[in-house]
Amino acid sequence: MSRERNLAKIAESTFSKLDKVHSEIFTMTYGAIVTTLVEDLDNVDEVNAQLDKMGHNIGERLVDELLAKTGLNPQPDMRYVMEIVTRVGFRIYLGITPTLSNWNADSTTVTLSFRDSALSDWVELPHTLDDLSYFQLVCGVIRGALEMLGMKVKCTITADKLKGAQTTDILVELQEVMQAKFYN
Amino acid sequence: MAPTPLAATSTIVLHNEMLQYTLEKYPDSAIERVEQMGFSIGLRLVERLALASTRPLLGKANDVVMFICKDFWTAAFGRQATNLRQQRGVFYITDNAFPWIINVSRGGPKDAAESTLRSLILSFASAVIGGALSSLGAVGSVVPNAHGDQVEFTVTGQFMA
Repeated sequence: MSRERNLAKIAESTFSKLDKVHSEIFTMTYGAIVTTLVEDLDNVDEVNAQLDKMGHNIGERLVDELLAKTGLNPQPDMRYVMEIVTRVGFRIYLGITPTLSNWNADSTTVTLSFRDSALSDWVELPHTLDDLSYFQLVCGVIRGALEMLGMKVKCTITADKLKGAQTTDILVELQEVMQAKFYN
Repeated sequence: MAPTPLAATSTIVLHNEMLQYTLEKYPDSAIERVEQMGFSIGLRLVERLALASTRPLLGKANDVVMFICKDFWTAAFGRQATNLRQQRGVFYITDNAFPWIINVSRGGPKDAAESTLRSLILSFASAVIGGALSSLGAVGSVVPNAHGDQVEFTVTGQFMA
């Protein structure tokens, strides 16, 4: 519990020092990107793949800034890293704190649940886009961020608020802890 | 849902991905594509802001430009514009450290990719501002002029009053 409080404190003090914008500009930009990709690409699977790729790049960049601004330097410990990702990362960069639940016994899989998010405010998907994963960018972000921290994970959207679920849920599964490349 | 504040970096990295994608996919028409996208983002952003605003929105040119410099600038770029001056119906809006280009301005002036990205970001930003203005009934052009991190946007247009 104290570790969680500590991370929340780090998040607030870091956040107070950063330049901030309204979530709306982010929402609009993301909406415009998805719209463009849907127009540009042949099928929805390609759109999902492109969103995932963009997210991966973003995750790599954000984790860099996050570590630099907070001074955190976590070992590849899935529980601790996921707490950092939710309580600090999402808090700062998406303005929300998703909940973590359903840890398995050996702490390698967990579900992240998003109740609200700037990403999908005012979004409605037409039925022709039933297979579009609007949240796929976030899967990519988590994947990219954890990769930078030495963990290879698989992210799957298991519930989607835009398709009638109560929350948007992402299942994160640890696949491999990678050898540290440079230090330690 | 009320707007949530979030780190400016989030939008910057998202723009960067969008610009890289556009450059790869449409090397010859990247600017037009990015401008179209920016225009619609600015337009829609102001529609949202207008719902919450207490300022007169569709008034005189001065009111419109003030709204752009204060409310719109804060929502889109994180703070108010640094300076506004007007000369013979033309508005000059200055931001002394324009956040969208700060991270790309560090490379040398000779780095071609860097300067392409930089001018693309400026075109995009100008289009966002142009979209915002058009949402407020102004028709005209927004031209960026950058020196280092400082950007001056020249707004020439016809306003409703």
